[in-house]
Amino acid sequence: MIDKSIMAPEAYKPLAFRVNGTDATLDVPPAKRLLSILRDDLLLTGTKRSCDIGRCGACMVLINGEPVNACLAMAYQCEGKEITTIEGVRGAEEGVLHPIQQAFLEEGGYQCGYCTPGMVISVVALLAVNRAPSNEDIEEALSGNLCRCTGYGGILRAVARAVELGKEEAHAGNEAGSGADVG
Amino acid sequence: MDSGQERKALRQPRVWRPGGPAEAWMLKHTFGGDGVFISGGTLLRTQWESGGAPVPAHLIDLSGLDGFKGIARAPEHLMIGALTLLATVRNDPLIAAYFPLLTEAVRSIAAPSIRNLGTIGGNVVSTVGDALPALLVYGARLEMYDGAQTRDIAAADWLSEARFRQGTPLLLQRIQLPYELSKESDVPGEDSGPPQPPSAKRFGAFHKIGRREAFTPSIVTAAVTGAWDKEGRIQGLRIAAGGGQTVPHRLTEAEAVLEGKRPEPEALAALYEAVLADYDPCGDVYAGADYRRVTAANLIAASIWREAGGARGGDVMLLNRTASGGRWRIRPDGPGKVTGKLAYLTDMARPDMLVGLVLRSPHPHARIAGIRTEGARRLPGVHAVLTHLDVPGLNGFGIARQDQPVLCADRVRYIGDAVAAVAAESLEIAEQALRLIEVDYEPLAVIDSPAKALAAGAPALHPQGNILHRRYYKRGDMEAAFAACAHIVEETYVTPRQMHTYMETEGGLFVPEQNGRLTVYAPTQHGFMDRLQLSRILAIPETAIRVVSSPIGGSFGGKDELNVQPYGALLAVQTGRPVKLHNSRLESVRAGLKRHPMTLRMKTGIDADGRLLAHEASIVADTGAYATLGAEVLNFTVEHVIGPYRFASVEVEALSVYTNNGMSGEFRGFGGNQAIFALEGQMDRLAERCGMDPWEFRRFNMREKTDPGPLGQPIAQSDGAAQVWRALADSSLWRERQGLSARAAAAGADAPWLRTGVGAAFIMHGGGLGVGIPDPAGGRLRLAADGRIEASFSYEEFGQGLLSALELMLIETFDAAADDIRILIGDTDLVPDSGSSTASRATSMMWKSLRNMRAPFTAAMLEAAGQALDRPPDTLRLGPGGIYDAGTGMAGAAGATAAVHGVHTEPLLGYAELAAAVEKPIRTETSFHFPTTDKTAAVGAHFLYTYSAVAVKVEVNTLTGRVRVVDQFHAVAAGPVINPQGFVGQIEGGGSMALGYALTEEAMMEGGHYLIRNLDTYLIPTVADQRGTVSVLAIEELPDEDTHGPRGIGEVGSVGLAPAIAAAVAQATGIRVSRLPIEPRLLLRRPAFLDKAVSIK
Repeated sequence: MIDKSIMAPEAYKPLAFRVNGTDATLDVPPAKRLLSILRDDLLLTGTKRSCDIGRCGACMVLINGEPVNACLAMAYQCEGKEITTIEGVRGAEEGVLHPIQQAFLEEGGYQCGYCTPGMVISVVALLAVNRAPSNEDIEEALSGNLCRCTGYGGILRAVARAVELGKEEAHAGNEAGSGADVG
Repeated sequence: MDSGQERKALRQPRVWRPGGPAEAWMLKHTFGGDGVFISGGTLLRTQWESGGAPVPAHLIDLSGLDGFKGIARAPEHLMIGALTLLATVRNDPLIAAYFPLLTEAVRSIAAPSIRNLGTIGGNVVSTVGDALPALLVYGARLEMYDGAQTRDIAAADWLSEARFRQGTPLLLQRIQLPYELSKESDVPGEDSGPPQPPSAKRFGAFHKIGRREAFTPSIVTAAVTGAWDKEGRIQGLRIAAGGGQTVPHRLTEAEAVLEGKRPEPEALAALYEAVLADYDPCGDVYAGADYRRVTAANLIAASIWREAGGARGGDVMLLNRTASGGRWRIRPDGPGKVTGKLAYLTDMARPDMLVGLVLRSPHPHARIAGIRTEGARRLPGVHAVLTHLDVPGLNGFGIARQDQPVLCADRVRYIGDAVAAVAAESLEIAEQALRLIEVDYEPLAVIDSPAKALAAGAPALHPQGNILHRRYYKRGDMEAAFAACAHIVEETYVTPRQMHTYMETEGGLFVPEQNGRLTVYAPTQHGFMDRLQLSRILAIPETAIRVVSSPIGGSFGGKDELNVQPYGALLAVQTGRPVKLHNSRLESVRAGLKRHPMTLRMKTGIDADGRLLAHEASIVADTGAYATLGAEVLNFTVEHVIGPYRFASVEVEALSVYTNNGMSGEFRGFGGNQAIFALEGQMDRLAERCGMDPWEFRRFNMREKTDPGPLGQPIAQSDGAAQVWRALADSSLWRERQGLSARAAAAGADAPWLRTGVGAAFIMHGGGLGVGIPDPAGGRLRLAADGRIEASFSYEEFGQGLLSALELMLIETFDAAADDIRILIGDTDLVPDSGSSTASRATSMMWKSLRNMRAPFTAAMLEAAGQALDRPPDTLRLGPGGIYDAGTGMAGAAGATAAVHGVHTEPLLGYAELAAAVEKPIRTETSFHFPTTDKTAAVGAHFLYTYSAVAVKVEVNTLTGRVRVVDQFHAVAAGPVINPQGFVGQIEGGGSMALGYALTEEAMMEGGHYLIRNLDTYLIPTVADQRGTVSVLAIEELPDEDTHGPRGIGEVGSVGLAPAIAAAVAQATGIRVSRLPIEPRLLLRRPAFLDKAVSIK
């Protein structure tokens, strides 16, 4: 019926992937949610749990640079992938904030802060491919990140500020060759 | 939904990774119903989590089928592999050039992160995906593998058969999109350059209408394409429509109506009628079939009419970062939040902790005949299974009245009622343990409305009956007053069950300490109240419990009452192990508090001049199964349905009624939201009736400074009402309204179905708990051993910016630097009881505490410094970093100027040196009561009020009935602005909550069950719903004699926008709504272009 030699189910193959630039191998079931792997197995609690079905964006992470809801991604889908969580977002040097984080701080782009890691990840993903997004681009990029506290006013000001900071940095970077890091 | 099913563990399925379609098909054939094809898995996982579909035993992962990924050009069509990510389709330039409606359609599916997992194939095989109408109008064909061969079939044919098809597995491999080009030479070959986009004569439109602006389930989807011939006739018209659970289909009869015709009014009208006849949508609780049909007809007709014929600005924030200068500060809790380093209480874990879960009733109302826990107890890894027999103290909780069982003994009254609690070594074991608990329920008649609860002979839900609270207030002679009225308006207002939707669901960690005490790490809005309630339940002294209650991922009133704390505490005490609970969103929806749904019947009369004479209100609130603060909310509503207006005669009768619906309780605005929506609706209707400008009508009838409060009680006097009235009258938004006559309210000529209106509302909102209710306040200052000035309050930080406000006040009160300060909050072991972080009271109370402590603390510090320095204290002052010479140093603004000019002063004595030098600790405490009105006033009547006026501009699309908020203006008179960033944030955020309340949010229930289960159907505003400017004007001026300082602003922003939106909708459309959220079907209009001659080019 089925040739077991080529068709064995991958129930017990350890998951090998990279998290924030570090190789990790974990013995987890293939359908285990990435969210649970990050929070419970790796104790990376910056990725938040909220709706469990991909509707709020609190658990947003980057998988190979693209934003994905960690509550929807399963272990087998992360095999060999590079995962970046909020803990892997930082400025050009260790201990320095990423310009997007700096912008959220300055503009008050958060209140309770529970949506903030996911929001920052989505903005990182947006500005990585679009340094000067239009209002429509921003709306599309953030439409999967719910915030209940701010009414998005502070968040939109933070994105605008991050775009400015990005321009300043790009200008400075022409000479220094520095840049923010998300890995 | 059965509790066991809802709680089902996500079984761990086996994952098979076939290398080709034959293997995949064979696996599916072998497993039958036990196996499912999976690509991105986004839809499947959502179904599993919501209990909508079981987790299958076998997942057949298609992602290894590399041949079916990506987009490729073939001579006659574009090929899209079924496993191509939606994100790839969204961003593909070829698709955008040739099949722009598909780009548009995919852009409207979920959000970018979902499109990075989900595939176009999954969207298609669901049979209801939003990409389908676009694929249908482009004549897409589907390559299907049936186990033996690959055939292609028109997508339209496949879909029309889909509803009849049973079980035969088919594997979608590719989607073919045929080019439709004007010239043969445009057809791209494999090696040719970029193909030419289709001729400009073609046209097309894609529409997706949901319940909000982005990331929404669809209600109607429609795609239209066609082309104009040289004579302006339509050729090749294709129309497809779907939406929700409707399988999209081509509207061939509607297409035929217009084919080869010019879009004259008669032809468009015929098209419109044909769509109504041809489109066959499924209705559901969110939108009926009729609404969908009319909306589709409107949109499709308008697409063609528009083809034939026919920004957001910078925010102008009056209170903003620029205007705030150095007072716009980075919050102390900010760095931890933007880096994810801040550990919330639900992020905490201990290596030896157990996982706790609660078994909740699957029935809205039932008798418990028996509970058997033996099976669960025997399960390896289970450490405790608790029932009502295991509650050592009071088996009841409730801030005001302890009528909610911790664990139900003989009866359940709502579907969130707790029956048992377990602690186990893993979530999976705990879930299995819940399934093993046997409860014998005997279902009872479900009281699912206040009307049923109040009916004669209704079973009593509680010993005292079904009325939690009755409130009656009357002044004047109602009969005579109504007899004297020239106009009387009677209306019934209905408001929805709104969910707080804090992003962090309820949870926490419960730790039995070695010394026998219990530490509770769980969000709440009054740690000392939780400690009191838990001590009653556990039957241990309050001093044996430490409650750590901050930080919190949002609350809005929803975490004020106990939620998981009793179970975590009982389980931790029972097992002697740390126990963690963290509600799933499903459980949070089911068990958590909501805003009271209310029905408010009002009758209000004016004389011929427009002066208010009489006001009668009758209010019924659905408080759900248990009390919590239902009575207090109702009192607040009674006070606020009278509000800031001068009625000679008033009669209000209000009831808060127990039902078997979900719990209602405390929620930002606290009964004011419902009251003011109804009251302001009356004011607008009366103004219209007597022909007055609605804002002028309010001024004419508004309270004056020395008037008593709404219930006749003395209140702190201010000019707030007049100030906010004037600010709104002068606002550019309100002046814009005057230019929008009903006729001119129509927007540009190319979209006459967009109608614009501006509306306003006037708000007087009480702060504090009100007279007759314990409302303690206070705090402590001390100089810590390390030299920090330590401020301790029992308040909680749930996002409002309390830490930031306190830091700023400390800096300004003592001329200290941020580094000199340490703030302690939210820990009952460390802080004095400052009362609750509710009722917009915490900032006011911190301000007053510091005012009380400033002089004694400063004196004690200078006294000690004087001794250490051997100088008279009155020659010294406090400053950044330490003690300065009072004569030479420059404080505050002068100091800042000095710094600019390079004048550098060092403290004579640093705070750390001072702390080392002092003999007895320097420490000041204050304790007082929130300012209240006269003790003879009605319980809950307020003394301090915040005044606000809100104007809003909306755009109503009469094709769809959907309302879009454009611009907002909020004038707020609340005394001095303590923390500018927090102030703006509270008004913007509160406004967003009111926007949802007005337009999209309702936690619908039927028969005592929630119809909404998660954030896929309960829709709070997204960033796309929040376009436009929000201007906040803070009016800080208070009378010279005022000693109360800043009033609360935490709630007022959430109250006024909904009635202002209703008023704006009325100006735009002439329709006055009396029910929230506003139903789009009420605002649909037949497009005028169907009925009058228009020139078609």
